[in-house]
Amino acid sequence: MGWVFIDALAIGLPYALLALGIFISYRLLDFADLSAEGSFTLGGTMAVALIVLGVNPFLATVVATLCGFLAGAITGILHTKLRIPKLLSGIITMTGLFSINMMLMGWPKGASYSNVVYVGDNNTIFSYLHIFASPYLNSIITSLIIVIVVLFIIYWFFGTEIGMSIRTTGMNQNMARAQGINTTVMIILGLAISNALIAMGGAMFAQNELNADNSMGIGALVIGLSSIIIGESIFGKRTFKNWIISVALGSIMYYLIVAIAIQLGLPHYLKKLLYAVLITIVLAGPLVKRFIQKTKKKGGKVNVTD
Amino acid sequence: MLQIKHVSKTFNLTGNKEDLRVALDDVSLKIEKGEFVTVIGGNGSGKSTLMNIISGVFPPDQGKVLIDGKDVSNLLEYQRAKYLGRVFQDPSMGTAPMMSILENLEIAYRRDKKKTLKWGFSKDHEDLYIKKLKSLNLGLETRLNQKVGLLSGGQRQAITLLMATLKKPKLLLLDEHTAALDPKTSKIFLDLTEDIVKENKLTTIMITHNMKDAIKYGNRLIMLSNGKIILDVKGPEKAKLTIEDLLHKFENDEDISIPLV
Repeated sequence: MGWVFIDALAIGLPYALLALGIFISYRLLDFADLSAEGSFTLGGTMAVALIVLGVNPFLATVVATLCGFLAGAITGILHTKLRIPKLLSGIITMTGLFSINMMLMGWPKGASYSNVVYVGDNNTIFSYLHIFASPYLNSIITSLIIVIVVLFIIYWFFGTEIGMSIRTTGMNQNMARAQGINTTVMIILGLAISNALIAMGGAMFAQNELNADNSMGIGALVIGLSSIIIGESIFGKRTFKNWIISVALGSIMYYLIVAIAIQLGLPHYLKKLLYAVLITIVLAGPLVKRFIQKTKKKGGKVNVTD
Repeated sequence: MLQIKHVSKTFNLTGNKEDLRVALDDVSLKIEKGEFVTVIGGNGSGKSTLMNIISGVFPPDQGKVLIDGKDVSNLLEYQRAKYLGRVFQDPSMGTAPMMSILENLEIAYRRDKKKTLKWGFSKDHEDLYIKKLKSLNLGLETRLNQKVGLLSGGQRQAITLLMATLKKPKLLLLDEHTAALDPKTSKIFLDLTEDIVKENKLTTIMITHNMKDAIKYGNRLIMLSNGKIILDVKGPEKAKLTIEDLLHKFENDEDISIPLV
């Protein structure tokens, strides 16, 4: 059963970056950004394609991250400059990325498109650390280091003037403009950073799985949102530091639940159904809590004085 | 200080020619440094449109806006922010609710600056903030780290006013900033506004729909009706003004229809 926790870390850590990316768009910018599904795959396909073409895996991951940055910026430009509604802006980017991802997967083979690309014998970012005998544990440590570094960077960035301006824009655009903040630029930049993180998560995920395919991003938004909500409700969001750590831990908790369910014999085809049930429970949680408190009050003490 | 030259604005929300609504009709206005102007007028008289055109929320159809002799007509709302301090009617509009008082003030401190990757907080500012918060007499100086969303409407307006004047603006715009407050809070808050305006010698425009307040505060009064300035008095003449005079002016303006609500 100890391995269940390790398994949850192995999958949960790359997804922590996805969750943090979605946290930036959904929580900080109040923007339900569907491009996440496309940019997660984009990160994976770009990184694996470059690795197969002989690029250093760290450089490949950085390039994949930058591609996510561009994808997010496009969503932001569609929304702010062309006045397309938020949801549709994200859908447009996601749809376009589907084709681009197929082209990327065909690239190393010299084909015009493909549905999957394999790392093969090439090195990945997980090939370099040799602390433990088990490569599996080494890759988890690598992921952990990356996630911790990213958490530090996020914490620093959102405390700078530009980061504060992005947060202000997400809370109150009127006030932001009255305080000299260029809200258009902040929305574009915020979405770009969000999708950069998501693509980085995709690049890590694909290198962990040793392949990338067009289905890896399906459900990414749901996974990210569930992780955020699970993290917030278990670990809180009192301060910004506390909040981002909660989100990262949320994705690990999420996969811990999934891993336990699989260990208990849940067939793989029921996994998505479990995701759906999980997010429903989490979203309905506060309501259920209130209902329980209410019934408790009714049945509880009568002579309460305060 | 502020010059408005032949500004017109027409709204057409439905796209039908019959539904054109003239909000401002060739308005020209010159406000001198240090003037505290109160603006009154019925619903739809163009008060808010005037405010929005000065602050750049939307551009005028015609005309120019000059601040300190500089034509700002082509500057966007956020670019004009360095000249303007603004307080809105809705208490939730002027602050970021999920941020602390300290964070809100830090943002306001950088209103006139380009945003960079420098750290957004500075320990050096805290003394200034505490001093300013103390002057509000609301006990907020001990609650720097409290989220603004948890404060009452009056407290939030006070913070917004503080933010608007933290860096001395060339022009302070108050858009019915006491309308959402109860009468008692409103009075305290208006006196506070007057103190801050006097202390910092701020050039101020205050919209109100309370005639008493319009007469009591400020040293110049402007009345708008159907997009035109129909009354503009200052100095001793303003000091002599009574509510009866204003009502008389309202009634004599045949185009005006005072809403009976």
